[in-house]
Amino acid sequence: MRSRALDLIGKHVALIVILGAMLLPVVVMLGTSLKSMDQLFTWPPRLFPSNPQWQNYAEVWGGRYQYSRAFTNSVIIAVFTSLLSVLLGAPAAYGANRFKFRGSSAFMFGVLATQMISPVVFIVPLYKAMRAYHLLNTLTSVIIASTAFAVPMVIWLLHGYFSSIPKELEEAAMVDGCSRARAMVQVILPLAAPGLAAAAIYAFIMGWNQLMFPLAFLTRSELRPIPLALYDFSGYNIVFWHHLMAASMIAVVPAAIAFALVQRYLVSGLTAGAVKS
Amino acid sequence: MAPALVFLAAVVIYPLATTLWGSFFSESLVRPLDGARFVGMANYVQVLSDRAFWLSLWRTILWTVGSVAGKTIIGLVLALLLVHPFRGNAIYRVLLLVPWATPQVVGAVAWKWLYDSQHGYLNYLLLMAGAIHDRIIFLGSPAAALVSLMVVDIWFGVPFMAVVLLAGLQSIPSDIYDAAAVDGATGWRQFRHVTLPLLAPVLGVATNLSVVWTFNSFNIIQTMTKGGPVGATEILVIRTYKEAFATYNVGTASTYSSLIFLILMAFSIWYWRLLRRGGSAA
Repeated sequence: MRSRALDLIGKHVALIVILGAMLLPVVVMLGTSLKSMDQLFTWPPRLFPSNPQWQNYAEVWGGRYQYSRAFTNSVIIAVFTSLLSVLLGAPAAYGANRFKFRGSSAFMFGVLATQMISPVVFIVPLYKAMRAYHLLNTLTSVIIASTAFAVPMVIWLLHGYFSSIPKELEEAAMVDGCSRARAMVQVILPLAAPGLAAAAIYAFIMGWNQLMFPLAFLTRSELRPIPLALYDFSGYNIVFWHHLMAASMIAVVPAAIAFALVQRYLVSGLTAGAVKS
Repeated sequence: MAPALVFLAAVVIYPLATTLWGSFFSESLVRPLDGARFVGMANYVQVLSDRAFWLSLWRTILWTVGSVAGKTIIGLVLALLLVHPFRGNAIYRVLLLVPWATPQVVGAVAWKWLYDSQHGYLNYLLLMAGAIHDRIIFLGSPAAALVSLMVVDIWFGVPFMAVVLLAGLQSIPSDIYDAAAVDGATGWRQFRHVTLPLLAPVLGVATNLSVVWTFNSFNIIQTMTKGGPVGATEILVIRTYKEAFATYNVGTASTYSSLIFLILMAFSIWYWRLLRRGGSAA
């Protein structure tokens, strides 16, 4: 009995050490975002200042950084990436799941194989295509490119979700005189709603985190989304770390909320795939 | 599914084909009107005979192996610590997800500040603990930069590993452990002969995905060092991006991209075969 108690204490100590190390960057980010310029450079550094400077957030949001602009751009990119990905991915996943046609498993394998391809492989052709269609320096270019990367994952997640909905449901509806389209809209879509929502949020996160495409496609600073704004910010010679960390905290919030909403589904989707194969 | 097929063809298959095709041409992004000139295998000859390519490939391998090993080991330790229920387990599981939920550029920026050689918190902690006597220049010195970035990549990747391995561990029936215990297997031997073989399929898929993601990792390196100092963190993906958008050699960039594609495809095919053979042996 004593050794079990000791085991448990050892477990807690190990977990606190590992997870403490993992939380440190986020804690330092929060603490720094509340410091004044002088407090950044005191030695020894303190985690949290005694007089938190909440106005840092207001300054970043409204001031010369145009951060509210970047935030809006990111929202536009992420929302449209999300909508487009589900609009394109859901019918594909449904089709691949319900109709067994020649090459349907090859199609799903192809979808998975796109995960193996580095985004950098696409960057030159996409850049040239965007230039040809005069889409450089538009948010549309980033939306199209990031949708391209979200769609395969959305198909993969939804494919698993549709398999969990029994075929008999829409067959019963069709026996009752529904067309397949009506059966899908009235019977399957409501049942699939949680899965669709999860896939949409997942695509939202991908759009929110996009750096490479904005870096390649956008040169006008008023079009910058958050990752590019932070990237530019940290490249200056003198970095105002308290402002940068406040901006970072603002960028975390939507992503963290979105992640918290789909985390359970994402984990089960990923592990179902891993355990099955 | 036709719209999705058309879209995937337009944004995945078409660019992939264009990239492979483009690797046989010489072309500059700054002079689009000059057009592309067919040069056959010349780009490949040039890239493959360039020392910079091989250095970059070597760096990519170090980066990938080191980072994936780190994520897998720490992830496995966390999964083993959390697999049996105890009071407080749920809180640890939630906290574990924090790095995963952090956008990559945000995490990279936070780590850059943590690593700051003059005022950074990490130097302070290490000095206080007596682990070092002088401040470390984490990102500014070639010797330390790649390892410092690996730590960041490991930080981002541990939650995924831990969560997937945790699910894998939970799917192992407990009566197998009871049987092993009756046979006198405890501790390390139980782990070695029961846990590891049964976890192998999940471990295999998770590390394969992790290798591909790590190999392609762009955001962290670009945000923290842009491949510097003096190329110490320039893995293949970063180098490819530079060829395209810093020196504007589209042909060379396409050649780099094609080589990355071929390397990852070869790796995945080799890995799947290995897994299939390992699966039937176990």
